[in-house]
Amino acid sequence: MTISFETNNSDLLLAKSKNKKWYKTAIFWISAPLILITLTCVFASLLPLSDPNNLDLSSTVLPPFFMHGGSMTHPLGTSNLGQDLLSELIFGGRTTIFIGLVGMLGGALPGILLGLVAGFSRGIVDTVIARLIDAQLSLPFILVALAVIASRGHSVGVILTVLALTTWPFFARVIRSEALSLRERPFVMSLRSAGVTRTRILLKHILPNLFGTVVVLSTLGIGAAILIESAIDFLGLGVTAPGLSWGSILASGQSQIGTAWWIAAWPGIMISVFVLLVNLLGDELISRFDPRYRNR
Amino acid sequence: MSLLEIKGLTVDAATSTGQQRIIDDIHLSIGKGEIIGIVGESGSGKTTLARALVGLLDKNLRVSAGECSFDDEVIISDKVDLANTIRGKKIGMVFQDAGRSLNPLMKVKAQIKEVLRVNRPEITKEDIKAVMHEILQRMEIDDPDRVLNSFPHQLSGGQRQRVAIAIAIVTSPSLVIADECTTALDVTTQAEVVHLLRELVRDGKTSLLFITHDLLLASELCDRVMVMYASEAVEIGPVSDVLEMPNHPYTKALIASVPSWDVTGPLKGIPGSAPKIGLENVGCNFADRCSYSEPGCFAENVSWTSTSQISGFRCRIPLRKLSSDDIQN
Amino acid sequence: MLKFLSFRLFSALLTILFALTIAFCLGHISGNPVFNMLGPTAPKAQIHLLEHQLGLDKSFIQQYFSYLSNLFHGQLGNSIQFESSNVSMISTRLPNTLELLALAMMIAISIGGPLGIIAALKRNSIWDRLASGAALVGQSVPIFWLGIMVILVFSVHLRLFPAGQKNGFSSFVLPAVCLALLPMAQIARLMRATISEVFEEPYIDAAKARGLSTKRIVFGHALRNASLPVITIISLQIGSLLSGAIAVEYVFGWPGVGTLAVNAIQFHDYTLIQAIVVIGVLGFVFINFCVDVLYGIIDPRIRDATK
Repeated sequence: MTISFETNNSDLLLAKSKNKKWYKTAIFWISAPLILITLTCVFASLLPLSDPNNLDLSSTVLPPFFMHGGSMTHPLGTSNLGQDLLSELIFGGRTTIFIGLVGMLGGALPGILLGLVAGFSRGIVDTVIARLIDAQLSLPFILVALAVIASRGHSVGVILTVLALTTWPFFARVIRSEALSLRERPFVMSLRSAGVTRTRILLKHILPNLFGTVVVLSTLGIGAAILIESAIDFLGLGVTAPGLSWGSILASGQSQIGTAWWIAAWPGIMISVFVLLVNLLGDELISRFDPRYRNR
Repeated sequence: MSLLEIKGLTVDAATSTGQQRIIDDIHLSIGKGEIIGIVGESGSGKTTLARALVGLLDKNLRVSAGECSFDDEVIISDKVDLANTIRGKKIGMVFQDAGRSLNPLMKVKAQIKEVLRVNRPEITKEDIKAVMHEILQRMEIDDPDRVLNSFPHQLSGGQRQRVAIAIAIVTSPSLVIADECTTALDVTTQAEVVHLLRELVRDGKTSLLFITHDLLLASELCDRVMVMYASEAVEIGPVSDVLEMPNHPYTKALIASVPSWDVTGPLKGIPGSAPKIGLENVGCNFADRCSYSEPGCFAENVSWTSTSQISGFRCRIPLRKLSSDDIQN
Repeated sequence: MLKFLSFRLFSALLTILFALTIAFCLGHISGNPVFNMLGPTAPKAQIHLLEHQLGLDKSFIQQYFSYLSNLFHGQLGNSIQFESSNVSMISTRLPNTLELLALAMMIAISIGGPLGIIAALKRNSIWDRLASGAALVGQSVPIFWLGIMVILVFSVHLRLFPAGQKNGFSSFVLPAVCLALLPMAQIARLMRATISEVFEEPYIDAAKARGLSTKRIVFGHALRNASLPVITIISLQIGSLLSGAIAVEYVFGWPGVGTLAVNAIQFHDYTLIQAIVVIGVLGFVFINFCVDVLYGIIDPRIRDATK
């Protein structure tokens, strides 16, 4: 196997021309299925699906349509209580995606704010916030979940709180280091020496420069939030019956794993696909926004 | 008998906008103990030439024609790349930003030792220390022990430069290529480095290829100088000849653009900017900026005219009036 | 060096304090745990008794300080379910968890690292695409689901590896590999990115010009410089590794601290949960401290920095 050195310029060969049609770009092809899935789940009640809470005890644990014993009335099979898996998946998706989005926002907003303040103010404020970030990062999300849920019990509100608590430091750390380096840039110094107030610099100059980073972090944050949320649901600490989310469906499928493995398979596939698309989108956005990574 | 012989070297690049010619048909021979300067503005191809000689071209560049021989052996051509056999051993290179050419995580002595172990394995462990001290002393570093035990960021810029040069020459190469190694320095340090390089060559054992955009600097240090413009060599000759009686209009304009103390008035630049050369370019590359150009200059490619073994130019209407016996083709 | 070490140590202690405080606050300000444990219909007397036993009838500040002083004395309280000391319960299971974590991390580094290096050296080749693709998938799949599917395929259908308990070396394989997948993917991707960046650095070119071989440059120069960000990531991964460990232990029935934690939740064993959180925090900060020191050893610029 020959190994050769390749440097930055080699990617000149592979540089895409900037003038591609919008429907041919990678971003389009990644976002399209994402948006499709999201819309399907959001408008679940408008779709001709059977009510997922409709227990049909006469047709429990039916396999998906492509297996022996399955049919198109329940294309993905049924659960151990006769609920149609396809509708469970779509209604459950509504919950999961919602929690993913809101959970991410709950972490992004305080995280970005604190990161900005820390990076820009420096001094004692920065030290405190930085230590806080480290402290929170040293608490893995499971432990935070355990601690909160132990005293508060299960609910969507608790999950959102846990998500916010566990994800804010990631946003804060990245934004803080960007703000720190931006602060040292000549253009900021010249603005300050011209008498522009720090708040104004922060809002009108620093923030727009961070736009790309914020977009990328948020995109990746949705994926992370969904994974955390599913894990919490799976452990029985979050959304539980009769609530539906991809994680809770997985949990119910675990007990049937020997006889009806598909109950656990579908939600896992959904989660993986959705998070994969989100991560791909995030990667694409990184290459668009950050010139350093343009030659990945 | 020359040490390095470049014949018709041509290097092309594959870019997103098509093929681009970076170096076009360069001929040069460097003899033992000679100091050759390559002068040109950025984009002229001089750095690419240096890298081509040691086989360190970027991945999208390739040698499309010509060859380069070292000690009569072809090491670089469109089919051959044997440069790794002589890199470090027989050819040493000093880079523009010397400080950054040192690994920030390794002590200086580790980096020098490494170069010696790889290229001069016959030197014993006991002798290595002595060799390191000796080389640093040649570089006029006062405190060799401290420098050896330091990391690059603990040294001053000038010290880093000396260390970089030391690493390049510690293996006693026959040729040293200095790629714009004075460009990033202040004038005082520049003078010191030039002085060091000159001392190096004075031993008579090392040849030096000095690449710079600073024509005056080249004239101080070099025996011969080659002027490059937009991928081509436009003039070559002994430094005094080239400076006092240039043949090529570009050389003349370059000399004229250097400010001097006794001349007042606006700075003389060269109007326009250097072109990118595609593979199919016709005509002289400088014609559109040349004050002496004629229609014929745009119409046909200009071939090289050798005026002697060691000089020549590429121009249809050279500035010096030539008698026919000046020209040797 | 001493100054560097002591500053890092001080930082670590401060972080521990902050983290423990956060853990304490989380547990306390979100309502009365006793209700969760006993149910809302329990008689008042019982509630008060439990509250008194747990020290919950004292004021918030008092509780905080007794919490801290208990910790200082190595006292983590007793489990409500099992009526035995939390410390002993955790310490019997801790070695199992640590073994699993260690194995997973070793797999992740020893496969992820080289994978990333190869991807960087052969950029944009088929190997690179494959490695990057695999890494991306590894970051998207929920670990507990992976565990379930893996058990289904390798344990139930193919009968290659056992699952469900800790029983000899082969029982380590499936859970460790599951746990290792995500950090392996992250390490590979990061290694690829950092090695690629390092290759752009001038000293790599200079090393080539000095006649050093590819192998020597990769291992002697590039790797050393690229390892810095990778070490940082590893310290972050320890966090997600523990979260993953809880899920994996639960799915594979591994007798470790993870299953203990999940059981504690299901039985509302509030003190045990607190104890596990404390142990977890101490563990991380300690590991991060070690990583910080390692960082300082490798990169002399960090050592010499004034702050």
